[in-house]
Amino acid sequence: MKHFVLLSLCLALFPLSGQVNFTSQNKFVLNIPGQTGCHGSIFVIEKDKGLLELRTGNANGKLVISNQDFSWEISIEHLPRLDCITGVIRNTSNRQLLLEPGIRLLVPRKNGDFYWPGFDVFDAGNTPLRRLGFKGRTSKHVAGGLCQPFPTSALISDSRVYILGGRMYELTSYTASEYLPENDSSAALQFSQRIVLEPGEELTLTFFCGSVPRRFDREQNVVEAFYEAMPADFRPFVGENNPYIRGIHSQYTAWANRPDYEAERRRYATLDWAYAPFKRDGDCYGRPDLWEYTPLYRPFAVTFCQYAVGENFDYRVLTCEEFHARRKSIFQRFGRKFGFSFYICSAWCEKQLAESRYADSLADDPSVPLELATWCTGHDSERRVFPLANNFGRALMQDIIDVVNELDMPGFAFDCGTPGVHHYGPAAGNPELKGRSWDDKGIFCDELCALNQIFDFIHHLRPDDPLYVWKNGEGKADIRMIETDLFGPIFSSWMPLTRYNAGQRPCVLHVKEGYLFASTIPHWRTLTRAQFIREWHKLGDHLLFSDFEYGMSNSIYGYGGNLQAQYTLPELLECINLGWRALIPVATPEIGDRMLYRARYGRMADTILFYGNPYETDIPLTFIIDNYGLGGGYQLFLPKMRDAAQMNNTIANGDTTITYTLPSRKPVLFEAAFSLSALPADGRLSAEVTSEKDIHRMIYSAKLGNTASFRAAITPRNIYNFNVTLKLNGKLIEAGEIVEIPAGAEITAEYRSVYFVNPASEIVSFPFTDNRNRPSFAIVLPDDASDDEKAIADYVRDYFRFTNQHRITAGKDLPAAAAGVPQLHIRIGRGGSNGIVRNGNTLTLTAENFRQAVQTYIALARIMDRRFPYYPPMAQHFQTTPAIARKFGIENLRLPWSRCFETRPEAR
Amino acid sequence: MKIRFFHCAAFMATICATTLSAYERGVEHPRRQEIILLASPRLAIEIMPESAGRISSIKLPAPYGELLAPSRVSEIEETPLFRYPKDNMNGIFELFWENRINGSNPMRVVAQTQNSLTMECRFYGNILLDLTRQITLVPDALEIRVQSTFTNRSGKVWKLRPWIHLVGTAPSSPQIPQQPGTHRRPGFGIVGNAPAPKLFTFNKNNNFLPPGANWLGVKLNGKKIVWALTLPEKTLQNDGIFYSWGDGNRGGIQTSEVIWPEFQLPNDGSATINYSILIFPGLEQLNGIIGKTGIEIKDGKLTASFAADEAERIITFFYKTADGSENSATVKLPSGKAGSIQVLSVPWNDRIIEAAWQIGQSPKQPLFLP
Repeated sequence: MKHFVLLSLCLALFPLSGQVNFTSQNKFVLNIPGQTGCHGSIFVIEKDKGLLELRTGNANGKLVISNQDFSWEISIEHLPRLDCITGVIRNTSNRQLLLEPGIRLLVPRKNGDFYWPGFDVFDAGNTPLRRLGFKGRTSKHVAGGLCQPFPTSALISDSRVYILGGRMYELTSYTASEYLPENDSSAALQFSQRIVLEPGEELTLTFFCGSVPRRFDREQNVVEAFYEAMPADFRPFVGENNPYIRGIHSQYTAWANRPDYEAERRRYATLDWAYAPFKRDGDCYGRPDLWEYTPLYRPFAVTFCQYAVGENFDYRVLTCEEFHARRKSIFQRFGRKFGFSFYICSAWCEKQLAESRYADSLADDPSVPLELATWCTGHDSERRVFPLANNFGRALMQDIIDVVNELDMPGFAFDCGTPGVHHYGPAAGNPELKGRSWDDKGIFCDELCALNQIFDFIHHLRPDDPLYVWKNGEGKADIRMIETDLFGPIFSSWMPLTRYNAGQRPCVLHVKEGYLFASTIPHWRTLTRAQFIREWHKLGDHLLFSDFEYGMSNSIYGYGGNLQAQYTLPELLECINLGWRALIPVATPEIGDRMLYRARYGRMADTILFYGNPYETDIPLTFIIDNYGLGGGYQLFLPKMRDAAQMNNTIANGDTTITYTLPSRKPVLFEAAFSLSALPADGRLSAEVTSEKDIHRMIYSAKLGNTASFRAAITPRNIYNFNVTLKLNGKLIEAGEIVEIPAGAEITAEYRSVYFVNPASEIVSFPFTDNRNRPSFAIVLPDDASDDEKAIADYVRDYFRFTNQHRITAGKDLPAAAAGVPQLHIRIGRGGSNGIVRNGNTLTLTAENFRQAVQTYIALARIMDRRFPYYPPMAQHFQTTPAIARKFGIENLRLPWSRCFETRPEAR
Repeated sequence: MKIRFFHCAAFMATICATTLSAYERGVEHPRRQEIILLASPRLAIEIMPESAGRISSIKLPAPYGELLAPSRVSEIEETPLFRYPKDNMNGIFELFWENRINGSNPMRVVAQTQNSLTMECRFYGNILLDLTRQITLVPDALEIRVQSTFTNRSGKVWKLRPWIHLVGTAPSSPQIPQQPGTHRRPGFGIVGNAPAPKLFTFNKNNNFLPPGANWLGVKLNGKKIVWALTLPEKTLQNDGIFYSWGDGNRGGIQTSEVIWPEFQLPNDGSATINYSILIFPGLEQLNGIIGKTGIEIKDGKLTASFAADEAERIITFFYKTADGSENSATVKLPSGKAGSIQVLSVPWNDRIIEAAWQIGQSPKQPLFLP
């Protein structure tokens, strides 16, 4: 049975992609369904020698390519969409080898083809096209100005895509992609990587080769093939369940000012960029012997860079010991609670320190800024340095270790580290440095390649409680910062490639001023409030739709006053954490020359599709969903609503077809409810799919329209924080197991919350407040209450501190426990099922440990928020928004909104 | 196993239709707006009142043509919900350092003659200033005079630093006189490092420079013409700063920018700045300005280009040769008409590392050499 399941899975996964088979020597054929195979070869170039003659043989069932200096064992792994050609190359000589191994594929070409070498997509014509190395467009500020090329060399024709490439985070400093037309009907694609091999050194090389059909979109097919082939390369390395990377970021509202936990929680903020928690750039730990110095830019002063949690680091008077004590105290009190991510601007060091101690580490790429008058701390002048395999790199590694040992912190925030910055200095001569490449100027290492090795180091530093890495721009991080204004001109050209590279990792937008009103509504001073709101509303909807489109969240500077975005934030975050996907394999034939915002998250049974109609009228549409493009299987969809939904599905020719009217300027989500591994014999299936949802239980069902039985595996959607049981005609079945599906069968998936056993109505109606809106319940702790239990009680008290402050309740003080007073019991580590249970006038929060208790409290607070809602108005930042607030009144700066994820009128 | 599994052939037939949307995002729509022309027999300028009232074009008769890089003011339609102005901020108009000026805010024309235009607006560039600007073409001269008065409407005391950037039509390069030595400039840290007075002409990225004179220029490469913005004496004092930003490409942008010293204005307080644009045909570099005459010293020759009619002058040059010895020479600069040039021989050549001139009783002023 298991083999049958595997076979069925293969049917679903690989129906149309090509497959590599070696023929003779270093040559292979990429067999492609329905067409002549493409011939390819493996090649190796050596610096100053050119293309090398290669010997081929077999050993241990692997192809061995060699010459007198090296030996390269190659095997082929057939992955979804792409084949992986991988193996270890070993320097068998007694000299250093500067090699460029690569892969070449002859492909058919014709007019209208595109070529994608990893940066921009070009029209593929009669002239060669090349992307040599990582140096790309400068499109952002000085710290992270370059995109990393997607590691591919791909020809995109109207119906098929031919793909070569390498691993997303291969430790390499140079890859090249080339398109070389041979004649009117064929071209050679090449993808290669430059390596440095010391005598006896071994290195694993990985290339990809494949071909997939193209029906939708363009380069997105290439990206999706890599996502399918190497999913782990595109996910957060600490796992999707790390709570810190599942929310939005605070953008300094927690770090710089005295943090307000309830304000942050209600914004869904889970982490903040703990900016410059050090005196001297390049000494992020704070060494006593580096403490006393005179900064070059300006004398020490207390400015933004020296503030943390409303306290300051006044370096005019602070001793090194006092600094460590204060910083430790800050992280101890707030580090975990607010997700303080320790900031390091990894490729920069205070100038005097760099020149005196790290002279071997000074960066030397003349194509980028090497010195900054001032930046990170506000008082230092900074020098660019290379952060690995030299004195600075060793100091940085030790600082990271010591910071982790000293502070209670969840992860790191890395600024800078730019792909395409070459370092030829002493570190490049250090054989211990991985990822070195070469060019005409010598051996070098890419700045980001070095940083990625530091990120690997961090990921393994605290294995029982992994530290996440949050990176500004490109890099091997768990969560990405997008430091580019959504409303600026760079975003639309910069973001797609950035998003492709980020894969399924969350992205958070860090912007200087949310809506850039000075340029987006430059005439705002002359508008009435109604006129201003109308203009802003369009921007607000663009922000909301763009968030969904690119799988990114904004901060309070985007969400303040944008009530529709605040309302849809839970769904947005669910989507982001499910994983953004590049390819949206859906046709909407009636759309014509109109545009839709659209996105896709997840794959197969876990798919969610997003649509945003930007027009003023509703648009009825047919959605034809190519299931192959979703990773395979046959999906059944319905609108993703919070209460209930229903949708008729028709599957034919591998496509699921649904119809829906997209409302004007409201987000619409379609979620897959089930994935079937096979269809009835005629290849057609209809189904009516429904959902019924509450906080404690959700039921998805599909009434199938098959007239005869068929065999297929059924997979329900995986829903975070819910456990599922699957039934076929009322009988329990295993998810993913092949079963006989009778005619007219009904599939039911019942989900049970890991937190709640009561419906929302019972939680919301708990007597939190009396008839005068004053808190009316008591917190009851065990007699021997632990610090953890007391801390969670403080969270609850803080909830009502916040509601009182914002006049949501008429008081903040909770009554003492007494007869007749409703009670909230908090129990941590005392056994019992985790979660929240209401029993009469008693609510009980149970958890195994503190971290689980915090998450359980958050789950409870989210439901309490339904009764005590708060929607913050426009956030004020920099120059324009305070002026707007003065003109119109801050309380008037909230955009119109409506509930769009509820079906039932009473829920709206 | 080398068997690949296929779905039905019918599926293959359906895969041809791609669904790239017909809607094109990011389409640029040029902004239609009124252009006001002021012209004299020597030059013509264009002003865009609706785009911060900027001087968007300065044209001379052939062979010189346009001096300014084009002002591109347009709107990008990203989606039906989001259009944004696109403005390369070229043209001559006042910016204010550390304040984001929107170049698409309009000014209102309040007076116009054949050679003069006065405009005013509230919320200039969308900041809390009122601004009145008078632009005048000086008759029979290659000179444009500008007077701008700005009034603080922020409701509080405001420290403002006017800022103008000049970008010549490409390819062009800056001609910025740089004071020798290092200097501390509030807000900019320590700037400058030239050992001697220097003419700054190229360096990519950001360059903050201590002003060596009250002018800064733009050279149109390959066209034998230089133009400059000049300021009244002592305008920059010890707090003004020159700035140049380049994209690192010699065929690309390299700006010439001046940032005035700080004006501390009370609420409703006003300040006025004056500046002129002088145009010097026939020069390939600008080593100094005497009155309204641009001076180029190159290959043992002094070329003087007259932006306005000038009388005869006697100029004494002091120069220091590479061996450190100091010398002087006196040159009689003949009178000249606006637009004409004079070429004179001078008694030195490329051995100069520093030179100076003196006119009457005014202090010794350096020449700025590349």
